Amino acid sequence: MRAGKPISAPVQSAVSELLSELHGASGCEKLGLAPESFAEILADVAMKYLPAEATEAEARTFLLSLRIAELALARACVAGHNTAWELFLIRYREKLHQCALRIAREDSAARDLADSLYAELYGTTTRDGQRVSKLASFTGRGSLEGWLRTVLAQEFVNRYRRTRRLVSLDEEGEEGSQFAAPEPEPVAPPDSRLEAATDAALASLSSEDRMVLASYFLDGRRLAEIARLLAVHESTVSRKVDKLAKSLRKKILANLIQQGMARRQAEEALDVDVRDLRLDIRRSLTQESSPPAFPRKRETRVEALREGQE
Amino acid sequence: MQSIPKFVVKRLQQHLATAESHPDADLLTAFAEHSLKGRERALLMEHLAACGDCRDVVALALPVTESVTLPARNAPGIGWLSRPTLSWAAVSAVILVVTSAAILHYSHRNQAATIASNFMQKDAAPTPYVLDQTLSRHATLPARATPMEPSAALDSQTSTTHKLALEANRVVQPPSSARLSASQVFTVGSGSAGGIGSGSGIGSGSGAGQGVPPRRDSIAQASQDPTVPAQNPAREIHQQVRVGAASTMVEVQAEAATLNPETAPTGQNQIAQNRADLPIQGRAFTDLNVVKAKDPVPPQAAPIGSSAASAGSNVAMQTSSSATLQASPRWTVSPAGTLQRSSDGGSTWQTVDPSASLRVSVARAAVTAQAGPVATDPKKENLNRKTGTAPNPSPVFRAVAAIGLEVWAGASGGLLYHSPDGGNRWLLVAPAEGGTILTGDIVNIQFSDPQHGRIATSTAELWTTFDAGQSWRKQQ
Repeated sequence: MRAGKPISAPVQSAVSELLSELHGASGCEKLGLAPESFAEILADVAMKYLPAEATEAEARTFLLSLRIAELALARACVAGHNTAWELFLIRYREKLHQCALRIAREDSAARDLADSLYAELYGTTTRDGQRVSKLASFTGRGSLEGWLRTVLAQEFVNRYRRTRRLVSLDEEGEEGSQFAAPEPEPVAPPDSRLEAATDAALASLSSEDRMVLASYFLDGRRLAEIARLLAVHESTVSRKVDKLAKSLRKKILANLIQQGMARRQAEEALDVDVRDLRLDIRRSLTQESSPPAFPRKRETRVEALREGQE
Repeated sequence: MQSIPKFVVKRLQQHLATAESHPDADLLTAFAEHSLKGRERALLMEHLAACGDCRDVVALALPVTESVTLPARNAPGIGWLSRPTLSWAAVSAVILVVTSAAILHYSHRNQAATIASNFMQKDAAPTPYVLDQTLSRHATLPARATPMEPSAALDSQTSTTHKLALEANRVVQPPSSARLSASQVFTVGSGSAGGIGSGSGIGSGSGAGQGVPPRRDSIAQASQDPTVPAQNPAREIHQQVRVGAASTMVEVQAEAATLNPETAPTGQNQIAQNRADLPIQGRAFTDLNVVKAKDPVPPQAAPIGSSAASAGSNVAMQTSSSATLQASPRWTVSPAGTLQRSSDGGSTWQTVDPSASLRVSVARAAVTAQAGPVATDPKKENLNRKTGTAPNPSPVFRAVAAIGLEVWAGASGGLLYHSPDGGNRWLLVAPAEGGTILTGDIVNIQFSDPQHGRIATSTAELWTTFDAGQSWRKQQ
């Protein structure tokens, strides 16, 4: 029995119109997937992503944009067709392991990651007597290989989140001092005008700009990586970051002045973060006396992910 | 790279999403593969701006090889020769062989010319056949060859013009009876893969110069004697460089685009034409956002003997009328020091390496006996001594300026490149004045118009030109 949203008429019409063409092009015959099953799959995928008011033309365009051959293969595997499964193993098993190795950077962790995903893809768990396979969630929006990479990456990130919460007591004892950490100096409450001005400036940026800033300054991502994400040249990203940094300063300055701060005061507020100054002084004063309890080096998020899993 | 204040980073961090719902793997995959469009992409981008975990997932899920950098050269690589080391080794070997052959052939021709002139002195009537053959022979070029036209005639006292048309295996031999003066013009053909001999022709009557014997029967040769008409006057495509008393320029022809068989107008006319074509005249351009150039000027046949040169001054540069870019490209220098060009307003960028497409290095001519020998930079002297070796294969660029299609790029080691056609062909320029040459890394280039420019170096030198780089002055 089919679960999910009821199929709208435009989608139904588009599926009926394109079924024979898509069924033939996807190789469903060889995989053992019947046209009716395939039509149901297409309708489900369309209803999942298309808005309720989508027209038949939009539904048709959407269906034609799917990776139907890979979708048919994945769903045939879910249905338990041996031919499909054999084909899947030939094409993707080695790639799965290579992707896992590239993500985890360490052989045993990569094997562990790949094997656990492989088991989920095969469907080692059952629900209501039916095998539950992760491949059932593949909808053909992107390539199957890319989807496998994404699922591996999600699993890797999730594992790091789980292990990050657990801290070994031995580690605490080895790296930290035996004495209690010094009381941190009370930080002065941040200037609300500065926060408001910064929030307003950030909100005025486009989501892509904010994504670039977050990737570069928060995640520590390289320009080349960001460029690949956005499909632009590295120098474009470099100029974008420069331009964004400059325009942010200008906007925050303008906002501060608008909120009644004097220009000079606003410029000083921008150039010097009092909290940073205070921290630096404290660090230099306490350097000789006691080492920090848990020294943390600056690292990118991905490096932290990889270290967490070791 | 500009940074943002720490409190901004902290506010950015505080805006991170804590929502439990994240886009499914299909959407993230489609985003990573650039398949998402319109509203879906915008929504996902909004989520990614706030969700660090999803950004991590997308970054990890990117395919292994993805590059948006396009190669500068259009010609396909030739198998293993496309590797930089091997291709440079091959080029160096070819240059060496060609140079040796040129020197041998040149000495033979010298001998023959001496014999011929001795013979002519005995005989009242000169032997035009021999003279014509020596001075004005133009042979048919193969279909692939880039034809040449005789250069503009120089002043009668400095009437020597050398043109070295270079192809993959061809060079043009300079006239054996050529008289060299302070000015020497070397022209290198397009599409060339070989090299020409080095060595410097100095002084008058020395007959020195460069040239290598053509490997094939056909020879294209410029007219050296203004009285002798060239037989194929209207097929010059190459760029020639005049080495003047006040400056020294070495031109190296890069791999050219499709060339127009018609001759180009003289350099001064072309530059004037470019200036006239600019929508805003007299505007100071110091950055890369130059005015879009109009279509290139249709080539005109340059009459033989026409010249803008005057005695002791620099000869007008003769530009080619190759199929230049329809619009002026944008230029930048990447943080890694590579020169990059965009033909679509900055959406995509291609790395351009002028030195990689250099095929010939022409030895720098010394100044006249009056000016004395050039006090050369040891580094550059070594460069000139090595026959046919191009400068540092991968220079680190520090500055670039462009006005229309005129592009100036400065790199470390005092390397200055000039392209008159938007980056299709490049000239290596070595500013010099008297006995002094430019030293240090070029850190700033400014051109207010194609004629007037200024260069600053890391050694606090300031060089100016008022004639589009034909001569330079060092400011004290």
